Amino acid sequence: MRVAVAGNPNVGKTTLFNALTGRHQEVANWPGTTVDYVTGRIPALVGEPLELIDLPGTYALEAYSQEERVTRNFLLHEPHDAVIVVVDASRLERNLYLVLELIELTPRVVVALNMMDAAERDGLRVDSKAMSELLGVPVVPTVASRGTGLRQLIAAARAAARQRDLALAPSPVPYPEELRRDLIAPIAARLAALPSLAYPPDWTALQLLQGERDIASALAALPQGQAALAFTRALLARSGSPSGVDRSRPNASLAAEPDVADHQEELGLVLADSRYDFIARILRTSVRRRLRWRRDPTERLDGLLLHPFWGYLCMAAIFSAGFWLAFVASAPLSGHIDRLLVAMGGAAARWLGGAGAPAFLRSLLLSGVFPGVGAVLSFVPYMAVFFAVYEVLQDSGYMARASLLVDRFMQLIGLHGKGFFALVSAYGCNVPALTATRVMENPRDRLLANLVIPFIPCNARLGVMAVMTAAFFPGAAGAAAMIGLIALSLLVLTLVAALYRRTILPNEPAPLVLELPRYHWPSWRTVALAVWHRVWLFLSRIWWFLIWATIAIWALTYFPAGQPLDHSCAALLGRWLTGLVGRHFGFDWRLMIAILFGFVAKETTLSTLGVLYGSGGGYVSLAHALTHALTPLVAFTYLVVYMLYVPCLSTVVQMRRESGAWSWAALGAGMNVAVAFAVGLLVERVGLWLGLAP
Amino acid sequence: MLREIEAALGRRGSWTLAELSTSLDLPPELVRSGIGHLMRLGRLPQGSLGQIGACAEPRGCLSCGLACGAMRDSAR
Repeated sequence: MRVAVAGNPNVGKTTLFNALTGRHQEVANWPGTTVDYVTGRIPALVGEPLELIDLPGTYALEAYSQEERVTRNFLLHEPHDAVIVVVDASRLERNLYLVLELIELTPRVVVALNMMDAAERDGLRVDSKAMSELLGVPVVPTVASRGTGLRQLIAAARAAARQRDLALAPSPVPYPEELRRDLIAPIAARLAALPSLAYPPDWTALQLLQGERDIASALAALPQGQAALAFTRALLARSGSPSGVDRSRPNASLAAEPDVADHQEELGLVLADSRYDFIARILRTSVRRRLRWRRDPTERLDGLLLHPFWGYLCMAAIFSAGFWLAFVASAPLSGHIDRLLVAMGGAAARWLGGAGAPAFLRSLLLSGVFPGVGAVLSFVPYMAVFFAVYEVLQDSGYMARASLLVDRFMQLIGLHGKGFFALVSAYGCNVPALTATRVMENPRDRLLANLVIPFIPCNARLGVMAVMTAAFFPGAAGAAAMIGLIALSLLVLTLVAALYRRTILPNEPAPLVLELPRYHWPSWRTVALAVWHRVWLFLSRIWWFLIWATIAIWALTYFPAGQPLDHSCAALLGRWLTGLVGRHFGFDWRLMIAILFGFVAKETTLSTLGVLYGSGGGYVSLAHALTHALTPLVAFTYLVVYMLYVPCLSTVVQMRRESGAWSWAALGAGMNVAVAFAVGLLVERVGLWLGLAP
Repeated sequence: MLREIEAALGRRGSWTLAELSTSLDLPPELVRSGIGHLMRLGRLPQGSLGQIGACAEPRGCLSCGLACGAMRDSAR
């Protein structure tokens, strides 16, 4: 006796197979494929021994994949006495489709209702008897991992296998009556008259209606097969479109005439739809769910947090609270670090003076390394609290909801749903975010995401924004300024994306359905470990880069040696840039140098500002130095320009890689620069109009 | 059911699985299976159904420090 074992992937088929056959197994390869299969034997104390064939895991038998083709060909061409189809009792919706297809193909099917324990844990009670009545085949509950029900399963398989003359029963699937009457029945009747048809006529008729090429080819090779195919085509051409079916989708791959091919695709959908309707009926009849219709806390919370109006309000409140916490909680710690660095700078100055260190070395350490590295270190508390807030939101499941809300907003401007993953990633670093756009199938969607991602402020830009807003707008005002800046970046991104969509990249975005994780309380240990890990990762990555960038900036400020800072190379370059652009915004030469060097890597901006504003004396904190050098309006304008202007060099190179052309990378970078300075100018003029000090 | 899913996605491009299944009055698992089937039939693009979660490999990228959102195909 030969019994085939079929089933979807991950339903416990292999566990069941192993439990039944133990060590009596052999692995082989299906001829002409790379698909492995295993055979095993169950020695019988009484009666015939049983040979089991473990077929590849498949979701259906429509021959879209090699596994499906192998399974279908085995059932069509290889001798077997029965088929055990293993289904996951907790995932019946997904698994029953294959069962229905098998029942239409072969008469001796036994359903192994596996993982009954998992179904019970999920609150499901499956009535195997009711299911068996609807399907018209034996249904045996099993828990393969514990060996439960296996004896009964084998007994049912043996009983089915003994019924060698059992005819294929009519399909239990309620296909539309007009389809049965006008197409399935006449085609099946014509096929049944063929003298050498090896397949069940009803099943073959269904395959032809769906445009199955393999079956049509096999039929064409039979005597009178061509005539049967011509009859089918004529019926298809004559019959109208099934009601409610979209006939607009072209598909010329399944039949010679495009009209027939269209019709076959529509019929494929109608047939599949009928099977799913029947599955829904089976579930209604044979499955009882505890708590099924009771809204759990996740559903109740989502009712509010994903609401088209309240959801956005809640998101604004949650992120405002997060930023406020980041500012308030980190300020004292940042102050401690600043005071420690001031004390260390003073001690270092005294020690270097006492030891008679050369002037350039003293300048390097006191005007270069201390202010540069100190500016970054004083940012660490902001970063740590920001990461902690982010981690809590992520771990609790809220970040996924926020992503969805942003996505809905983005869809309004034609950005593909998958783009928001890249957009959220961009708040960490623009470079992997650009890589993340590869999940989008359409090149125009991908290109659009590539062009707008650099408008999202990355981690390094957020660092500069955090330090400067904390310095100029202490407490809650800082959080409001940060929220305002990020909202501005989203608004700019939206407008630029809409501009691209309406001009050079028109496209209709594809639909997307998202599954959200359940809410849960975050684990504080996980949050603490993640924060530590991320802060360390950030610092260790930029450490050497930061030292070299600091030294380079110091060198520009130190040379020509002996000259005051205002006559250094950095000042000359910065003044030229200020005369060119910066003067319209109130930016001094130091800010322009920081903008210029930020192009190499945004992480260097804090150290650059630290060196430029901290030079010429003992160590002072960057926040202190900036508030004495700039007005709040100039600082805010600078942040707007800095947040939006050309991304770092790595991002531009990555844009070229992803878009495949320097022209796209240049367009993206150019748009960033133009938009940044235009919006900056607008902000500055509005500030002046409101009477703020220039 | 498949036609209803197609029609719903035609009306609105962005859904959560819970919203879509509530809207169609069908169990989420059935809707998930239906979307997978529509993808197999080529009537929906691959990757039309995804599960949002934190990136499982945040160190695989440039280690910016944020475990970004990520999506994996959950139609199957």
